[in-house]
Order: sequence, then C-alpha cells, then structure tokens
Amino acid sequence: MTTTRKADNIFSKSIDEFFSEMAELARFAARFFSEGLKPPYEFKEVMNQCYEIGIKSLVLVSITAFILGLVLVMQSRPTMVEFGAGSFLPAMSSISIVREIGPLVTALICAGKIGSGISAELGSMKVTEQIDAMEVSGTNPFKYLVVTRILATSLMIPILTVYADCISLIGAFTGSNIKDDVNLTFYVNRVFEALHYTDVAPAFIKTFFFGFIIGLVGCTKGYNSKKGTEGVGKAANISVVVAMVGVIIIDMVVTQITSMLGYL
Amino acid sequence: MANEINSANSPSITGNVPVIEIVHLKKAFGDNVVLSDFNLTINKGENLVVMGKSGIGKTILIKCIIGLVKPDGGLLKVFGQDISKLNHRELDDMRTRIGFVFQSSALYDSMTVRQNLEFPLRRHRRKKITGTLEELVREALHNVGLENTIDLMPSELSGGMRKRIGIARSLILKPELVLYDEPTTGLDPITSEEITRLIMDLQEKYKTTAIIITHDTVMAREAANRIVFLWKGIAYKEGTYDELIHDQDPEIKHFFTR
Repeated sequence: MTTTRKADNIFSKSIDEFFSEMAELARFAARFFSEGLKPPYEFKEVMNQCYEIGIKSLVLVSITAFILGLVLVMQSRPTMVEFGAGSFLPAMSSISIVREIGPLVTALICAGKIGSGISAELGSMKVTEQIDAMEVSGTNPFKYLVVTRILATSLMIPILTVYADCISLIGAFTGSNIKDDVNLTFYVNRVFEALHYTDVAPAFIKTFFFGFIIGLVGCTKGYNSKKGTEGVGKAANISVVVAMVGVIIIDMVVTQITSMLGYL
Repeated sequence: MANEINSANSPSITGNVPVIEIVHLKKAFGDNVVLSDFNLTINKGENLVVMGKSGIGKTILIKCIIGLVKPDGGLLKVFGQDISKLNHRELDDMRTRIGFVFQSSALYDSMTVRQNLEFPLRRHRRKKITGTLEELVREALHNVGLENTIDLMPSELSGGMRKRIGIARSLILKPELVLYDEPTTGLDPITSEEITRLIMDLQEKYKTTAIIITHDTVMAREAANRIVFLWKGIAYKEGTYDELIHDQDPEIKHFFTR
C-alpha cells in the first residue's frame, strides 16, 4: 500500500513537473515573439550566432551524416538484393534520408551539441552576473542573448539538414560502391527520379520547428538556471533531454499532418 | 539613532545636492524580508560605504538603485528621478550616468578585454562622449594600469586584473555615480589595498559619487566619508569609521571587532 502511494506520488510529481516545464517554455516562447518583433533588431548578433551554431557544427554533422548514409545502404542492400530490388537502393536511401533520417539525426545531434552549449553559456552568464552587466550597459539581454540564439537555430538547423542530406547521399553512394559498381550519373538520376516535392517540402519545413525548439529549450533552461554552477550543469543536461523529446514529438506531429494531407 | 539617516549632519566633504534619495524602501523575496524600511540620502561627491553581514541585502539595495531589482514599496529617486516611474528608454539613459562594478567582475567571457570595454560605449548610443572607441578604451586601461591586456580574454586574467577591468568598464562612460559591489572580496590583502587605492584615485580624478558595498573594514576606513550599517532591513546606524568603531551597540561592536 505504501509502495503504491509512493509510486502515485512520484507519478503525480512527474506530471506536475511536465506541465510546469511546458508552461515555462510557453511563457518563454510568448516573450520571444513579443520582444523579438520589436525594434531595435540585433542583426549582427544573429549573424554571429549563425556562425557559431552553423559553421562550428559542420564537421560533426558531416561525419555523422556520411556514416549514416553509408551504413543505411550497407545494411539494406542484402535484403533488397534478396528480393531482387537492388536497383531500388538509390531511391530507397534517398527517400529515407531526405524524409526522415537527415532531418531527425541532424536535429538530435544539434540538440546535444547546440542546445546544451546555449544552455550552459547562458546559465554561466547568469550566475556570473554577465546578464545583469549587459542590462546596465543599455542592452536588453533577452533580445541580445535569447532572441538571437532562437532565430539562429531556427535558421541554421534547416541549412544544416540540407547539407547533412547531401553528405548522407554521398555516404549512401559510397556504400553502394563497396559491393557493386554504381555509376555516379545513374545514382544521381535515380535519386532525383525518386524524390518528389512532397518528400522534400514537409521534411524541410519541419526542420524550422526543430531549430526553434532546440533554441527555445536551450535558452529557457540556461536563462532560468538557478543554484550556481550546479544549476548550470543541470540546466545543460535537462535542455538536451527536453529538446530531444521535443524534436521527436514535432517529428511525429508533422508525420501525422503529412499523412492526413495525403503526402505519405 | 536607528534608521535616522540624515547626511546633512554627517561629516561630509560634499555639497548637499542629493544624488540618491531612498525613503521607506521595501523588498522581500517570499517570506524573506530583505529591506523593510530603508531610508538614505546620498549627496553629490560623497563616498558612502554600506556594511553589514552577508545576505543582509546590501547587493539588493544597489541593484534596486540601478533598476536591476524592482522594490516592493517606498520611494527611490536617483538624480531626482523616481526609478519606478521610468520607462525602458529613460532607465537606459539614467544608467549611462551610473557605473556598476559587479562582485564577480562580470566580464563577458566570450569577448576580449577590448570588446568588454567597448560594449557599453557601443550599446549606450545616445550618450555623448568625446573621443574614439580606441582612445576611450586605451584611457580606461591606462587608468587601471592594464594597457597590455587589451587583446586578452578574461580567462587569461588574474582575479585582481579582472576586478580592475571591471572597474575600467564601469567608468568608461564617465559616470557621475559609481556603485561598487564588494570590490575587494576574494582578493589577497595587498591586491585589496591596490584596488582600494585605485578606487580612491579614480574617484578623485573623475569627481564621482560612490556607494561601496564591502565587508573590508580597511577599505571602509580608507574610502568612506560615511558608513551605513545595514541590519534587519533598515539603515541601522550611520557615521564615520571612527564613530562606528567606538559605537557600543552590540551588533556594531561585534561586526567591527570580529
């Protein structure tokens, strides 16, 4: 009986935490739109953050995307050849990569790298009073630190995804050539024949939401971090978990919507 | 005597032009009442030291003065303007007249010393200051004796150097009022003495008014025209250093003879 009550308590506490987490994110998102739309705009800082978030993630995204493309083809090939569908490998790999693997893996990697980075940076700025220093220097810290980072992630995740898709397709082509001899022109033609607007557009659009949620969670957790340096570590940790779950939920919702619209 | 603050009676070296007027200031965080009924007037050119135990609300007091913390009640006038009635723009304009030296120095980790010093100059665009960015940065670094650190990152500086750069950044806009939050905390006695001397020299050079939050009795002795002892949310006692060290009130005695 006591164990059941304990379990109930833990369960209700988790539910409470989930909803307070959602409310906190919603408040922060509302503030992002209300303050982000008002001038003055921090264009220079947005560009700076785009560089920090985009360019500095290229190596990680390249390595991961290439390996994913390569492994996808290497693992799918035996089954497809067994069913006599070896020639469909380029089409299968390109649709898988562009629709799902590219956007999702890029977002998850960025949730880990960028989300935790933003959270730790803002958290340490808060505990060392840098955010207060910014405010007394005539700067709205929310605009300068938060709005710019959320905008940068929302802009850079789609670009990184397109880049990751291309690298992943190169990986897939390399994978095809390990056992077979596939002509590049043939491969590229098959890829473009297989891909339709309905594959590319929804996959691309959802990456903006992925970027938004990664930036929003990282900034919310960092900006609201408490309890000194311990709080900074916790904020970085939680932001990765929440951003990853957020990305997967958005992915599911977009897939449902795409399916309802008849694009699947 | 408690809570009876009248700077006109204090041995001030200043004229009686009030820079800050605080009347019945209140601030609480939940059940924790930090300032219950704080009253204080600071005149132009005065060096006021605020002392008191840790966590008693000294930092909150100066954060209220610069508008970083909103008081729950009372009147707080800075340069004759009621802080609570200022909009964002007016508050920013007022902040160009105030320098704030943070306890942790609060240098931006991602920027070089040069960029740290340029930041307030670039952001407070409406403040009219003569000189180029380069000249002003060089002058600020010259004032604190750290010209050779201009292209270093804050992580490459020692604690004392970070404090000096923090002071340089707070003075770069040539403020009329400077708020120092425990400027010697965490420093060895020699560096503390150097920072105290530096603050005194800069006060002399720029003729600023200052509020210095500190636990450092040596600094209080050197820097203060007047000391206010904060306790139980009020300005419990005020006087010169000599008056307070000879005060028989147990709280004051305990603080100064510890």
